[in-house]
Order: sequence, then C-alpha cells, then structure tokens
Amino acid sequence: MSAAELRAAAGAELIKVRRAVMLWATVISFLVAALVGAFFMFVLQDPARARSLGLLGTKAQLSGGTADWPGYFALVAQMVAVGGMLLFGMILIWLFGREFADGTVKDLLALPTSRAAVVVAKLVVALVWSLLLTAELVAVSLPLGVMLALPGWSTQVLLHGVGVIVATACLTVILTTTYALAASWGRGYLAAVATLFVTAITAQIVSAVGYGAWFPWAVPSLMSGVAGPDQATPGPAGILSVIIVGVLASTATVLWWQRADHDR
Amino acid sequence: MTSAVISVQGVSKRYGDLDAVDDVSLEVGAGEVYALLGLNGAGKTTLIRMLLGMIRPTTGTLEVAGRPVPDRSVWAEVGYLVETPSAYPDLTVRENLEVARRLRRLPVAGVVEAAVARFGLGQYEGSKARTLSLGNAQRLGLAKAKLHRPRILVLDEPVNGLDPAGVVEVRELLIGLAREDGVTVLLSSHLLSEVARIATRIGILHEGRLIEELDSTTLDANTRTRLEVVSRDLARAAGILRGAGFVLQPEAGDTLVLGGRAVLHPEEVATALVNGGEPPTRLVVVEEDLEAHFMRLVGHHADPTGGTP
Repeated sequence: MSAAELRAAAGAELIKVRRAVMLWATVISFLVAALVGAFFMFVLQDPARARSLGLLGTKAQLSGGTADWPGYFALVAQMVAVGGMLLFGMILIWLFGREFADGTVKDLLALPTSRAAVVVAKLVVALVWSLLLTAELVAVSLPLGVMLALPGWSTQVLLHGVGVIVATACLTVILTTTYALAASWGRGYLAAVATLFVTAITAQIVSAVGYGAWFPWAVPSLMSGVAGPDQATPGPAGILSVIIVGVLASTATVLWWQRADHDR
Repeated sequence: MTSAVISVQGVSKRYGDLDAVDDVSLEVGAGEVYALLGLNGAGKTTLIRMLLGMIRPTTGTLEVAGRPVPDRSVWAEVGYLVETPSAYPDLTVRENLEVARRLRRLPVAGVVEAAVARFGLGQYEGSKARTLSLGNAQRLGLAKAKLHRPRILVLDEPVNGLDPAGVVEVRELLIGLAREDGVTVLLSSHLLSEVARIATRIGILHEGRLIEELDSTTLDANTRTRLEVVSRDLARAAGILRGAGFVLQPEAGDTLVLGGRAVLHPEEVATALVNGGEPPTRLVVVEEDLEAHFMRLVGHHADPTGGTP
C-alpha cells in the first residue's frame, strides 16, 4: 500500500463524506451535546435559580459535578466517552456498512488502489472526522463556559481538561475499529450496530461493578472520569488493551477485505 | 485463436455441498468477445467474480493478461461491471465517476467529461444516482468500467435494464471496442439473441459446468426459430396451411407453430392464409430463447423434472 494509493482512497472517501447526511447529523449532535453540557453547568451553578426558571423539576437532585472549569471539562470528557462511542461508532459503521448496503463494495475490489488502502483510508477519515467533532465540542463549550462565568479557570486547568478530552476521544476512536470489522464481516449495518450496543452496555455493567480497567471498551469512560473521582484512571495496561484491540480490529478488517469471498 | 488474454484452467468453487462452478476451463484471446451464457444460478457471476479476484477458487487457476489472479497489477488494464450496477445514491453521476477516477488514479483533466459524453449521461450529470432509471444506472456502471480505457472488459449482464436504443448502443460499443481497439471482452448474459449479435465465441454454463463452447456462427446454426400464427379460426387456418404443404408443430394453446420453410418464407404463409380466406391476425418469427435452446441442449425436454437452478 503506497502513499499514492492511500491519497486516492482518502480522496474518494472525502467525496462521499461531503455529501453525507451523516456528516451534518454528527456535527449537530455534538453541537447539541455542547449546549446540554453548558445547560447542566448553568443548573448546577444555582439549582434554586434553575427551579424558579422551570428548568429543573422541584424534586430533581443533581449530583456528581461541580460548577467550575474542572467540573465542566470533566463533563465534556464524559460526553466524549459515552456519546463518542455511539457517534464515532456510527461514523465507522456508516463508512463501511454503506458499501454493502448500497452494493458499491464490488467496485472497490479490483482496482489499482489496494483494498488495504481503501480500508485504511476509511479508518483515517473516521479518525479525523471524530477528532474534528471533538474539536467542535471543545470550541463550542469554551465560550459557553466563559458566558457562564465559571470559576476555577487557569491555563493548567485548560491544558489538563482538553488533554483528558482528547485522550478520551482517541481511545474511543481506536475502539470503534471493532465496528468497522463487524460491519465488514456482517456485510452491512446490522451486525455492527448490534456489536456497538453490546460493547457499550457491557462497558457500563463492567464499570459499575468496578472492573472497568480490565475491559477495553470501558477504558475511555474511566479516562474521562465518568465513574467518579474515587475510581482510578486507567493505567498503562488499560490503555495498552485499547491499543491492542484497535490494532487487532484494524488488521482483521484489512485481512477480511483482502481474503474473504466477496460473493454478494 | 490468438494468445489467451483470459485463461481459466480447471476452476471450481464449492460452497458446502454445492458446486457453484465445477471444473471450468476456457480461454479468451485478444480482441475476442466471449459470452458466458447460462440460466440464473448457472455460475456465471461466480466465475466472473473469481476472475476479478473477488472470490477464491476452491481449485484451479485463473490468469488475466498473463498474470495470475489476484495479482493486483492487472486491474489497471481491466474494466468491469458485476451484476446490477451500483452507485453511491447520494452522489451525483459526476461525483460517482469522480470517485471511480480517483480510485483508478487517473488524471483529472477530461476523463470524467469524456465518460459522461461517451455514455450520454450529460443530461443527468448533476442528478443524484438514486434518481436514475435502471437503464441510466447501467450506463453509469458501464461508464465507470470504461473510464480508464481498459484493454480487457469483464461485464456481467451488461444490457440488463437498458431500453432498446441502449441495447443497440452497448452492442455497437462492444463490437467497436473489440474490432477497432482490440479490447478483449468477457461478458455474461442470459439473452441468447443479444449474445449472438455480439459474441465471437460463446460458452454455455449449466449447474456450474461449461457444457458447450461454440462460435457465434455455430450458435446460429443450432438455434431454432419458429413461426407463430394466430387467426380467428385456428382449425381452418391449420387446414389451409397443411393444404399448402406447411408442416405444423404439435403445440397446445391458441397459436399455430410452424418450422422449416415457413420460418424462411413467412410471406408465403401469409399469402396462403389470405388466399384461403383466413387472414392471420398475428404472424411472427420467434427465435427460441436461451432456456429453450438450453433445455434442448441438456435434454430436459425429455426429463422435465430434471430441474434447473
């Protein structure tokens, strides 16, 4: 697989992405996520005010967050971990699954551009797309935080907060390669969506019982701090497990495209 | 035959107990138009997919342009269309061609424009592929296959869905490519009449086996045609025709069927019926379709329960 092949495949992918409803659906979803995060901070700042404005039910209790910049960054990171797994996963499922759903996969199989380049280009496009969405979330959240006049701002808090968000996004994107494999192996959306839900639900359960650090799909959530301040962040072993899953899933996807019988 | 551009040697593909393709060997020379004929499920598409490296054969070897499949270096010389044409539905015709151009790493200038013009897609250039008729989608598929001016074309049912003008257009295109540009064409079809007009050689596949290979003139000689006649009083018409020396074939239904001289001179049949006071309300020469030819070939007339895929 040469750089020219990868450029050709990525260029072709970009034409498809540019016209996709999926592109705007994800952009709007992350915009809404940013607004929801800011809204949560607004309520958390003064629950009594929120109740008086009718934004919070009289019996509603808020917990697990502080209305300051560290708390705000942690909330955004958690959104990336949980929402990102679904949205980034859907991006990869769409990139791969559509070729089977639209019957266009056969036009990708006997070309001067290798199948490996086609697969890697899709993975790269998904990575860039997901990171740009993360950047959008941060870029929209920052001015909203300023408007809310959240306390606790410092350059160190900013760098640490954004660092955790980016690390969480990267770990999440790496794990979504599993769905590329599932969409290819299942030749469409269904198996991949099922895999997405199974892994997401299992990660929640495993995290809840305290073994999240041992389950790769729970690692991004632990990194984001969604399990609470008393839960340790994933160590090198957890991060390594995510990388291993990503490498195995990416390699298996390339091998599947190269070696499977494409009889449909 | 000139040296083989496409070579299939002892190729089989087995799925469990099913032999989708069973020990097929064939060769296609440069500039030939070779047609694979067969009913649905005969193994045509499986063979074509194996030739394009999409399916691995269980046994046997395939070569394209002297290189073993799936040597990727050959694909720059091959254009293909497999089964129903597919395109990205939310991209325009032009964007779909642009995707193909990039993946084939062709120069920017003129390639897409030439394909649009060559296949009469100018009117639909800005239309989303999802809005195309089946015929225009087929044109788009052919335009993608021809985008890089390949010297080998592998086309699975290339005239499916095309209107009569489109069928003629594709036929002339393929004949022109083979004769003038020396392009080698391997196509599959179940349309006997169309194949007979295009192909220089024909291979008939049945239940995964290549049961007959013949050139187009041999096929013509083997193809049976019949004259079908309908009139207001069939019994009277039959009497008139027998009296005029025509031999009627035993066919049930409300149509008289004649062979031999009647097929060569249908005007004599019409004249006899008009002169006998029983003018035909319908008189048509019918070329038997692949299935009829095929059933005759494998003897299924004698064993209607023999089953075909």
